[in-house]
Amino acid sequence: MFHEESIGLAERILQLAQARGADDVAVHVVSNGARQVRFSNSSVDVVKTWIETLVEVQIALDRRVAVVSTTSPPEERSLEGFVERAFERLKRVPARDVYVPLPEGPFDYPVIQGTYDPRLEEAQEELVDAAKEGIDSALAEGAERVAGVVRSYAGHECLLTSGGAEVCERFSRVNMEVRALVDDEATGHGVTCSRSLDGLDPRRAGSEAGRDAVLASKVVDLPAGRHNAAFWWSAMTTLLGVFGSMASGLRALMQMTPYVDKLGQRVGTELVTIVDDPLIDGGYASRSFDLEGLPTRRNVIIEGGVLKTLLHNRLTAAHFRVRSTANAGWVFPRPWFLTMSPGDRTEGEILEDLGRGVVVRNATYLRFQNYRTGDFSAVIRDGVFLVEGGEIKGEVRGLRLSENVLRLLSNVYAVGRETRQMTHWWAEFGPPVVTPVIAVRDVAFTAATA
Amino acid sequence: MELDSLLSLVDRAQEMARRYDATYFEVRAQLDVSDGLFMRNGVVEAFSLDSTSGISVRMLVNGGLGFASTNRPDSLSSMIEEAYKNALAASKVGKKVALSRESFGRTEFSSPYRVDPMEVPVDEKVEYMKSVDSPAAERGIAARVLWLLSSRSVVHFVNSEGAEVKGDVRRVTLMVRLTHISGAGATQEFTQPGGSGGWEIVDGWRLDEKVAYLSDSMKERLEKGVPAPRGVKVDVIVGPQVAGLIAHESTGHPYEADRILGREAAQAGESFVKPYMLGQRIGSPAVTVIDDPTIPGSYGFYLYDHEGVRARPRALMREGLINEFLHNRETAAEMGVSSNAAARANRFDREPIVRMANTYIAPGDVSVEELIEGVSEGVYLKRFMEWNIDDRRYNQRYVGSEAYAIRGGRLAEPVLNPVLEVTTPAFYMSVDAVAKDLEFEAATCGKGDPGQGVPVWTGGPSVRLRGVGLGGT
Repeated sequence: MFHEESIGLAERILQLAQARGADDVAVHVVSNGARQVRFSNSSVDVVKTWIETLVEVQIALDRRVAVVSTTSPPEERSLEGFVERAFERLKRVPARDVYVPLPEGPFDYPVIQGTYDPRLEEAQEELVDAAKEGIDSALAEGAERVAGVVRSYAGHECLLTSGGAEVCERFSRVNMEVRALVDDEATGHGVTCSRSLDGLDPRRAGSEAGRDAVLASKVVDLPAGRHNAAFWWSAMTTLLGVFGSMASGLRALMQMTPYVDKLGQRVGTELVTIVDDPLIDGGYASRSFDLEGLPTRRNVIIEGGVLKTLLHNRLTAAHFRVRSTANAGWVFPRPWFLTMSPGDRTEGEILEDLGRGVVVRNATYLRFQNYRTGDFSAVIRDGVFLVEGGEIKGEVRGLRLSENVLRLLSNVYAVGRETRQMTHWWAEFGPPVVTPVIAVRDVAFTAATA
Repeated sequence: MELDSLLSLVDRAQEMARRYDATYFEVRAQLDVSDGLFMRNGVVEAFSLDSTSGISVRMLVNGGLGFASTNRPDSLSSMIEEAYKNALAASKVGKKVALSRESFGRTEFSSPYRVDPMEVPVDEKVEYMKSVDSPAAERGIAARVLWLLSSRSVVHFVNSEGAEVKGDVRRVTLMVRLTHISGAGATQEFTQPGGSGGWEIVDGWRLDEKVAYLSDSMKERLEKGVPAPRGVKVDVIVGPQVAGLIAHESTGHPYEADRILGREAAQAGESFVKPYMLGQRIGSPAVTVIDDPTIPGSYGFYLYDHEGVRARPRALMREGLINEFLHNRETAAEMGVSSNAAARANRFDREPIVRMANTYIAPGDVSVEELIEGVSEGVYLKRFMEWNIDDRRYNQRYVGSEAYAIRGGRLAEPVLNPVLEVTTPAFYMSVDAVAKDLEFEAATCGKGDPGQGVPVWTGGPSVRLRGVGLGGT
């Protein structure tokens, strides 16, 4: 679907909804051509292509809100039925207690450079070549077998609202994850991601994964307990996703975040500054508009350890009597592209400062015991290394990160100077990030007792 | 795409696919529709109506596997060509894929229903949700979040080996999340009943009673709860909700043959279980774990999988012995067995991969009270909030929400956040008795790339473990 078609479709849906008396309408159309190469045991398993089209409509009528979506663009003859179905049901939904209309334009959208590479519309051989390069690079470091995935996306996204927003942007993305294995338990993980084909670096991802898998094949002992720990880029992708997404205004209303009633208060050390910044040129998740039509903006969530704002759409903002922060998803406000400000330490210095500590390369499967208090645990993997005297001594197996969001943020004592743009397949909590490595004092690790 | 026009594409796609020199192809048209109601503290925040529909082709060419899909009738031809090209590209650099030999035919199945959940008026659903919310509101529970989801999945599958399967399954589920706050303390609970069939299934859930029970339990533990034992070996009884999750996480997932063979290594991971371990002891004779897609009314219900293979119950662990893995046709061929119909795709544009359906620990013949009577000192970890398990499915952790001390064969005071952090063999080997109070909860199991959430039941009775350690933090 071309973006002219998308806008045309959005206009017709908007007109139909308004003709039925809708107070507010927002129509979002996404057309995305996706490709993927999956590999395991150092060999390609499958090559996949799919076209994702998504038409989403938010309709408000008499303080009632409905969100209708379809992956198939309705044909002209069925458009009325598509809208009518939403209205039929919407009229039977009770009114909300708090409602405000969609933002009114005119809007001036930011221009973000470097977010579309037309070569990713058709890249197939390039992705297969990237897979081969990632595999070969990991094997060259000593990996015994290599698994992973290369993904590309290219298309456009348009939004039209009754508040006067009319915006379209083209996008492209490519990312790759490589997981190298030396035996069943010695693994390493590498990531590369970009908005353009040239920005993909399969060699680095493969080499880093292979190197860590080899390092992890030497096993050392470290008992469960509290240890100083450094969280490397992949681990930080998961953790920063949690730190940022917990700022959703709806989470606060649902008592599902430890940030409840913490605005203006210290939640971390002075080294912690977390910003939702969708305006970065070439940023993997940069975008110019939210789903209510507001131009996106840079929101400082935590500055110098102090919680500065929650993230809002118009409805959660109304609950808190503030303005939207342009983070509207359809129901949940969410961060777009989380960044953590770099510090002044090299990775080598962070290792030296750890004393006897732990480096955590990757973290997944993070689950909360209590969202309100922030207690959680996470599986750590792909290199959980004991460090002594600034050197990696070997891998510690069987540890689990068992911590609390606020305690982690309050024990950050060093931040690395190199930031990386990262994605993570396990993205239950957060968006892509730009993150440094961080070091945290007295981190709790647990292990199986039987 | 409307259902009729979508299904009419299957024959055309099949004809087009025959023109290619593929050793195998399959065509799957799939429509998934759902409506959802999201309620916070008794107020409907939003109503949603979602539809996903389209058609996919998977092809095997020179041992290479290619997949492509489209949601536009006018791109059917290019989609099939794309699948062929993808298969060709995979054949040049990939492993040689083979599929197990299966017998196929033409068949249909559906989930019987009396009242179509997609046709129930929204206001009736809202009233039902309010009836579930009210007991918690009346008890002063500070935050109540309910999400009701009604769905229908229609599949028309054909392949080049003569299979033609039409499936039509309706489902309903309601997720409930509660937060109780008292002073500086906060505690949370989560429950999710669900099933396939008509709207009438909600009557059997008696969810208002359960929410009242959970609310009272949350209040009681904030008032009277004491710290759970740490770092000691005691007897532990896990309740049905916990046992069901354990069956899913530490038997179901590690017995997925694609994990065992390494295909999921990049993300979800592999398995500590190896092909040679079939027949080996992994648990006590008291434990049998079944995965059964054919349970009528179950949330993970189907009678034929997304490769057209007829479903049957799978005894993954029988009396403590590893008995069977979960297979699709690719993994079955690689291990020299037949598929046991575990191939599922959650929407038209996803490849079918090895999945669970309804996984549960088979019930025993004693009551929960009898389990408790046999414990002189221990903990009844009845429900959980937090859990995770490593990517080999070996080392796992479950932290209790509702839990009680056991002393002298009787339940005593509530204990706060007991931690069961244990390896899979240690858990199953320590089981000495299984009760008969089998219960199921609905869940959405995540796996694959792009991610595929599929509906499943997790089930279990109360299970008694002898002398396991309780962990900390």
